[in-house]
Order: sequence, then structure tokens, then C-alpha cells
Amino acid sequence: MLDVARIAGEALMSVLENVETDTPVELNDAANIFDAVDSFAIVDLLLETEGRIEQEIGRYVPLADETIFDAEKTPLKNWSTWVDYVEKSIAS
Amino acid sequence: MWRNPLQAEAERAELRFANASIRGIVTTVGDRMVEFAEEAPGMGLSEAEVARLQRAIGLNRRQIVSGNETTSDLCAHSARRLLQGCGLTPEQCQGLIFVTQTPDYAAPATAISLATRLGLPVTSMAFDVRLGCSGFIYGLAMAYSLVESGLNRVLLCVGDVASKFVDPTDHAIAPIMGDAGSAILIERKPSAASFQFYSDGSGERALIIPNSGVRKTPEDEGMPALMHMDGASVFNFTLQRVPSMITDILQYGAKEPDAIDYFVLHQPNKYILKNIQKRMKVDDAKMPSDTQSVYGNQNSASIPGTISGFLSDDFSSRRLTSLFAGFGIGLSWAAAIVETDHIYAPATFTGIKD
Repeated sequence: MLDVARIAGEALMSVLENVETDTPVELNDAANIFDAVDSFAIVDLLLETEGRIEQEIGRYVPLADETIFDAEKTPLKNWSTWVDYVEKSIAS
Repeated sequence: MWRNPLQAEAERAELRFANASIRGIVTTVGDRMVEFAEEAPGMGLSEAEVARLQRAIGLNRRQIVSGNETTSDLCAHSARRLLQGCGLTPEQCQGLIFVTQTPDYAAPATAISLATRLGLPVTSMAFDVRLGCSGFIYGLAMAYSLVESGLNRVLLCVGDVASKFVDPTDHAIAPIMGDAGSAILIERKPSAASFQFYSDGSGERALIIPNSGVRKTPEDEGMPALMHMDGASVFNFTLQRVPSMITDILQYGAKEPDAIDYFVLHQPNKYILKNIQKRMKVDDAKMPSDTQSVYGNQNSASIPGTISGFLSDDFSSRRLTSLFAGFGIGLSWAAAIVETDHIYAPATFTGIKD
């Protein structure tokens, strides 16, 4: 079974290697990625996560939709929500 | 106010044409090539940030004007080459539409002087349209309307010297913009085309040049008259509106996706285009996405610029059914399904040669 939490976590760590943040991002269920990084890093996270998923399952799953940069609706405000979002995107 | 959905549907801005067609497309880009990796340090970007932006947005290089050339200069060059290539004289055109956000002057309209420079007779009509990334579709629909209403040929000139309205040190927008001017000849000939249009002024501030007109607002006080972009809003707008627009125009044009030879979309960045392509389940080869990486964002010239830059052989040698989609500043977006048949479509010209 696909370990989406691991894939998403590894993608985030890879992106954060090249991003300066005001405070270190601690990866836990409540982590708020949306407010921790800039918009380019979010696009980078989308790309990185999509690439890793494609490697694992052999097909491209587009993760960006109109909620990603919406401050009210973005799944990136909460890490567990983001993992759920990725899982649902793969399933749909 | 409550609106009946069926009534709203009937009131949509949609147009169909049967007797207008594109005869040729020519694009001229700025003569100066700027490598993103070379200009990035001047914007305060580290090597790692450069790599991120290259990957995420597709930034690589762009073409801008090196001197004081204007959009109308680029368009004039394209239009001359277009008329020459089609074996026509300027006197055989009765109209010129100039779509740009960078006119020669705030007044008068640049289209009038451009028409005179090109040699169109005083008995022709010429006017400007102030639109950005959706402008090609709007201009094309207006040209089709004029031809169906009686004119024999209309020149549509679209483009921007966008490098002139960005802060060269603003890494959020400066490395995106390219300079281009396209000329498109529309003439009377049986051919089917469908258009749909959308406008949403509530997104006015997502892309805006403050202090560039008559309106003065407290929030704009002290801001330079340069393009300001709320990238997140534009990203959301694109992913919210463009896929549904493509679905709608296919339905309105009564076409299955397989019947479309090319989906030529405005080229804001590679990631957005790839996302739309995958969500719409369109083959890679049918939706070109390299314009941003080679020429920069060409604004209203990005659709004809993509044809000139990457599809000139096919448009020159085949009968094609294409779906065009423009979207951006306004917010304004529009789509069209258009048939072309062996049009004059040479590869992009770099710089003004005459």
C-alpha cells in the first residue's frame, strides 16, 4: 500500500533543503506549511510531491487546484490535511 | 439579485462565425536574449532559488527589446512580413485592431498611426483594445465580426513590451516577461469558429499597474507605475477558471477533445500549463508549453507567439482545428475553437530587421 505520508514528508524535506524559513519547520500533524514558506516553495512542493508519486505509481497526479493558494481553504495549513488531500487526489 | 440559471446561460457572451478565417500569423520578439541565471544575482536570488524558479515556473531565458522599440514597432515589423508573405498590399486591408497594454501614448490610439505607418488607406478603420493575456482571443473575435459584417480583410496586431512595465529588480515578475508583437490577418473565407468570453473585475488588483491612469487611491499612494502581481491569486484564478472554460468551449463548439489538433493556451508558466494539460487529459504533444522558457510571457501575443515559435511548420502545411485560450489581467479570460488551413506562419522573427 502506498505510504503517502512518507512520500509527502520526503518531498517536503527535499524542498526545505533549499528554502530559508524564519523558524525551522517541524513536521507534525499540525504543521502549517502554507504560512512557513513562500509561494515559489509551495509550487516546488507540488512539483516534488507529484514527481515522487509518479515514480511510485507510474502515473501523474496533478495536485494543484484553486484551493492551494487560498488562505482560507488551502490544505497546506495543516500537515495531516495535506496528506489526506494527497491521498484523495491519488484516489480520484 | 436572483438569476434564473437558464436565462443566465442564454445571456453568455458567445459568438459563432462561418465566414471568417485566419490567413497568416507572424510574430516578432525583442532582439535581446536575457538568461535568467545571469540576471538572477542582480535580483538578489541565490543559486538554489534560481534552480527552484527554473523548475517551478520554467524560467530559462526570454527575449526583450534592447532599445526604445515599442509594441507597435514589433507589430509593424510582423505586419509588413505578413502582408508580404500573403502577397497582399496594405490597401487591401480595411481595418486594424491593436491589442496592447503598452501603447505608444495614452492618447491618441496607437492603431491609427500604426495603420498609417503600414500604408492602410484613410478609408480604413483602426482602434486600440486595452487587454492583456486574453487580448488575442478578444481581438480575433472582433476581427472575425468585422469580416463577417462586410470588411474583406482585417489586420489584428497584438503584443506588449512588458519589460518596460516591470521593476527589473523584482524577481517575482521581471524574469517572467518577454517582449513580442504579432500580426494576424483575418479575411473572408468559409470557416467555422466559436468563441466564449468571461470578465471578473473583482480580481482587478491581482495584476495591476497602479498610478498609471486617472484613478488615485490611498492604497496606491507612493507605488510606482509598474506591474504588480499577486501570484497566488493569479494561480488560483487560472486553476479555477481555465479547465472549466476549456470544457465549455468544447461543448459550445460541439467538439470532442480528440478532434482538436492543438490546444494553444496563454503561456504564463510551465507548471500551470502542465497541471491544466494533465487535468484535462490532453496529450503532451497537443499542448505546447515551452514559450515561457524560450521567449518569456508574451502577454496578448503568447498564443500567436507559440504558433510562430513552435508550431509554424504544422500551421503552414496542414488543415488544423485549434483551441485557443487566453487568461489573465482584468481578470479577463476567453477561449475559441478555430479552423485554419495552410496559413502563412513563418518561424518567429528575432528583432526588427528593417
